[in-house]
Order: sequence, then structure tokens, then C-alpha cells
Amino acid sequence: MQPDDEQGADVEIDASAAADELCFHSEPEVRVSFPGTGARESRQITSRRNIDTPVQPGKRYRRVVVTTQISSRLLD
Amino acid sequence: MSQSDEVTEGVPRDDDRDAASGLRHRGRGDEPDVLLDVSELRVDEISLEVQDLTAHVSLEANVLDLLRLHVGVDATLGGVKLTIKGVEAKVLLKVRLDNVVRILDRVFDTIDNNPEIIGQVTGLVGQAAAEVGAGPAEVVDVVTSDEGPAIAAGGEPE
Repeated sequence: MQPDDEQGADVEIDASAAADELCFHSEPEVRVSFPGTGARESRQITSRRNIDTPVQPGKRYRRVVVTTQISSRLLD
Repeated sequence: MSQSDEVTEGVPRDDDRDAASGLRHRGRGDEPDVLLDVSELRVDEISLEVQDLTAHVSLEANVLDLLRLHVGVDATLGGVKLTIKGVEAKVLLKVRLDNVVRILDRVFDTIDNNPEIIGQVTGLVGQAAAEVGAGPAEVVDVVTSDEGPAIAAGGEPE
């Protein structure tokens, strides 16, 4: 059975942050994984505004908005 | 797994900021069964150094040896050092059970229609338990008979 977009994920992390000013002193190490068994549909959707990908350490970013949605769902 | 990044340059409007803290809204029927909502996090200025910070959300369901369901999401911040001013942040951890309940319901329907499955599964469990019981210890069954010498199972007559 195909995943139903109308149905929510079984597990999900939604995170967002908005900042007037942001400066990374080192490049962040971010890891996302999807532990589990069987057939699953997993995804990460990230939106960034006013920030480089990857971020530049020492650079000052202003009016930054970052959102991410990480989710996984068992398939039949 | 699919991953898509949207990188947009430009100055965010105020409603962008609102949208960022609200993320995408779904219908009422999509409300999670378990929700951790950290929605009011505001800091004027913070210098932060983080090592190995992990957010872990996991759902597991087992039915005897017939079914093992496990689905999870791990997000790890291995290390970062940063300074932020005027930050608003929001985190939501959600678990929904309807999909798992639907899968379990189908398993129980299958058991209802084929009850012999349970016998097969419990037989395997019993066999596994006996094997575990045997473990590293030595087990010797001694069979005695009035008509002859005792016999150690698998061994020579005593």
C-alpha cells in the first residue's frame, strides 16, 4: 500500500527557530537517522531563510528563519 | 528516504516568522496521540556550545513472534558553538498510533481467521525457552530400569 499523504507520520519531530542575528563559531554536525524495522517512508524537509548551506563559521547572519520537519511512517 | 532543502534568500516578513513558529498545520483528524510541545521559547541573547544533543522519538509494538513494529526518528547535534540574538524557537515531538493500530487490527483479524498460527508460534516459543534453559549448563537425564543398568541419556551405560 502506498503512503497516504493525508495521514500523519507515526513519529515526527517539528522544529523551528527564528533569530535576529546568528553566528556559528564552528560548523555544526547534524545527523538524522530513521531507526526501525520493515518498510517505512521517512523524510526530512528543511526550509532556510537568510543562511548559507552549509553555514560559514564566523559569518554573521541576520533575520534568520529555519524550519525542519523529520518524520517516519510504517508502510503496510 | 527523501530529503529536500529549500534555501531562500531575502529578508523574512513578520508573517514568515509566525509561519516558522507554527510550521504546517493539519486537520483535526491528524492530531497526535502523544505530543511534546515546547512552543514558547524566547531568548534575547545566548552563547551556546553543545555536544551530542539527540532528540529521539520511537514507537514499538510487538505481537508474540508474529509481528515486530518499530519506527523512529533520531536527530543528533554532534557539536556546535554559536551565538544567537533575538531568538524564538519551537519544538514539537509527535507520535500517532492510528496507523499501528490499523496494522495490529489486521494481524488480529488474521489470527482470528487462522488460530492455528498461535499454536505454531507458542510451539516455537516453547522450543526457544527449552534451548535457553539448556544454555551453557550441562543437562544429563538419567533413565533407570529394574531390568538393567541405569542409562545416561546420550551416554554409555553406567
